[in-house]
Amino acid sequence: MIPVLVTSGKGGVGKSTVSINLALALIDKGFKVSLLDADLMDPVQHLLFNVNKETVREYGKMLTPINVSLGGYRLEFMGLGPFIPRGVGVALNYEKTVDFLTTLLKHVKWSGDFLVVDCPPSAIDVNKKLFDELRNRARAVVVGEPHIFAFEDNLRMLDMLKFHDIDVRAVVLNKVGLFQEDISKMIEEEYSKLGYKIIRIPWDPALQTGFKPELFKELAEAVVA
Amino acid sequence: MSLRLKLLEILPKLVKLGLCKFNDLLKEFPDATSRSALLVLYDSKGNKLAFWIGFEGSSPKVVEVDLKNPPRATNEISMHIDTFIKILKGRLDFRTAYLYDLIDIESHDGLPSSYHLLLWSAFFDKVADLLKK
Repeated sequence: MIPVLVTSGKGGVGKSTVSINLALALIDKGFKVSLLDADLMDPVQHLLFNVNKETVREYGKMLTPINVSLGGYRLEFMGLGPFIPRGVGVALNYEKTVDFLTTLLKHVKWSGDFLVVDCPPSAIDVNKKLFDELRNRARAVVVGEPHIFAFEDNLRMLDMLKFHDIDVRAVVLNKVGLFQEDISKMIEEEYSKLGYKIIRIPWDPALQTGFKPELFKELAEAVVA
Repeated sequence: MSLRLKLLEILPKLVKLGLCKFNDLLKEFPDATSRSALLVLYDSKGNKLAFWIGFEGSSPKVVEVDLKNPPRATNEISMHIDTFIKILKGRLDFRTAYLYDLIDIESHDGLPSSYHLLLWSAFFDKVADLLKK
C-alpha cells in the first residue's frame, strides 16, 4: 500500500476536494483505494459518504475500515468524523492528535493499493510527526490556490516535505479562474522554477459538494507514475 | 457524600446493566474477550473507586479492586464520578466527555490510547442503547 499525502500550507484551499477526487480518479485507473481523513480537528469527508454515528469494528486487534460508496465508486474509509458527535469541538492536544493518527494509520486494516491521506493544513507539528512516520514511503500532492498567501504557506510545506524525504508528485493549483489572472500566472511560474509539476484545476462550484474525477486524471497519473 | 453513595444514584441503571450479557457487543467485537480494563472513578476530594472489567470465558465480569494492588488490565479509564453518572443517565455523550478532557484513557498493552477510546465509545453506545430500552 502506497500512502499519498494530500497536503497544503494553508487551510481551506480544497485538500478534501482534491483527496476524494484523486481517490476516485485512482479507482478509474483500476486501483483499489483507501481514504483516511487525517484532518482530525475539522473532519468533513464522512459527510460525503453520509456515514455518521458509526461504531468501530475490530478484527484481529485491528480496526476495520468503513466500506463506503459514492456514485458507484467503492472505497475504504476511516477518520474521526464518523465516530464523534456532530457539532462537538475536537479539542485534542498534540499528544492525543498524534495518538489518533497512529491508530488510524497503523491500526486499521487498510487493503487499498493506495492510501490517500487528507492531511491537516499547515506546516505544523502534527504534520511533521505524520511525515516522520511515512518518511521515504509516501508520495505527496500539495494543494494551493493561485494567490500569494497560499504560495508563501506552501513554500513552508514543500520544504517540510523535502526535509522528510516525501516524494512530491505535483502541486495542484486549485480554483484557477477565481483569482487575479496575472498573479495566478506568476505563482504558476514560481512553482515551475522550483521544479514541481503543476496541475491546474479550474474553479467549479459543482466541486464544492460533488465530484468530477475526470478533472483529476492527470493528477492520478502523476501519483501513480 | 462517599463515592459508593453517589453510585446509588444510578443503582437501577447499574442493576439493569448487570443483568445484560452484552452478547450483541461480543458479536461485533470478537477480540473483546482478550481485553480488560480498570475503570477508576474519583471525586473532587481525591477519593477513588476502581473496578476491573473483563471476561471469564465469554462472560463479562465486573469486580471492585484495590488500586494499591490492581490486577493487570489492557487499559485504564478514569473519570470524575459526576461524569460517569451523567453518561449513564444519558445527559452526556461519552465521546464528547473524552474530547473535552473529562475522561482519561491510558493504554497498558502497547496499542494507542485512542484505539481503546474508540472501543470504549462503542461499548458506551451499547450501554446507552441498553439503558434506553
